[in-house]
Amino acid sequence: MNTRKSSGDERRERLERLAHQALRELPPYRAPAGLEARVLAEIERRAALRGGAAGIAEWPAAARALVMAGCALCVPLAWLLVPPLCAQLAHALSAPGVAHLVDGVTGTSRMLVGLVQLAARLVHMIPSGWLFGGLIVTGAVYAVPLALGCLLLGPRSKVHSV
Amino acid sequence: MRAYEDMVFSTAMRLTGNAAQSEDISQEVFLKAFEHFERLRASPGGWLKTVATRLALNHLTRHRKRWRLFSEVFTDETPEEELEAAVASFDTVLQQLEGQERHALVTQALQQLPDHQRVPLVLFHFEEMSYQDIARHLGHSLTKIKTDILRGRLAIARSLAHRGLPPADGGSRTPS
Repeated sequence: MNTRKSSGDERRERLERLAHQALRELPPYRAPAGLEARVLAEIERRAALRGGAAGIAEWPAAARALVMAGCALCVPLAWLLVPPLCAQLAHALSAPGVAHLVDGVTGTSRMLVGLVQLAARLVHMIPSGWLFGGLIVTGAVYAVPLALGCLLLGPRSKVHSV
Repeated sequence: MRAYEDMVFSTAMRLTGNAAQSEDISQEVFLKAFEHFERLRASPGGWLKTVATRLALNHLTRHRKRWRLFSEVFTDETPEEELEAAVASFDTVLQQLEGQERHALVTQALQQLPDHQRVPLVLFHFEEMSYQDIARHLGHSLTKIKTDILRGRLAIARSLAHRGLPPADGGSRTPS
């Protein structure tokens, strides 16, 4: 029995050696001719995308200086321009036609406030148990598919550590 | 890149057995190399091969459930006589075939193997991974991996023997 087993092992080892010899002497496959161009084009495409979305820290120094100067200039400009602009706006709103429009807007806003107060009272009338129950059901509707997805897709991460 | 593109493409091609998928994987490997250029300065070949293997395996795991079903129902029950005949004919064929013809037939036989036999076989013989490492990376039992690799070797031996060479007596080839 032992002799038979060892001869079986010998055959398996011989098969392994032959397979190793046959496989290892195979020449490599030739990569497709367009692979290099494809890779370079993709690098350029990604670089172009990245350039548009890069943070200010990665911008050229001149561009950064220009933006900083622009931001710094905004402060005194705002200081100088806001008071006369506000005065002009107040003057425009006091004109007869515009004043009528402003009254209309004020009326609409009062109506909206009334509606919000009514909605708040209605919500207050609903039993708190119903509100919390609704929140729990809504949470479960989101959480259950998420948990199922994690369970089903979880084992795939094993090979990522090769 | 030119110095390594054949190696990267071959690694992916042997694992996936599909040229279009291997080209996509190779592109992804070189894009990763570009992003992590500093890391691969020490051993670019090793780094590229490892990443190519990992990406090819990740690609294959998308179809993993399909090939797991096929392979897990089998056990190593090859009769010893059949094994002996296969080994003898394999040896004879390898000795008698000329280099290029032998390469073409072995390549074809390897590509025709089902994924569950080809992948562990390639990892063992080309990537020099141990049975234990292969079992761990593919998430299968050690017994199953050993069985799949043995069956893969036998399938290659039988495929070459079917090309017209007699099994073990060393006779001349019959026209195919």
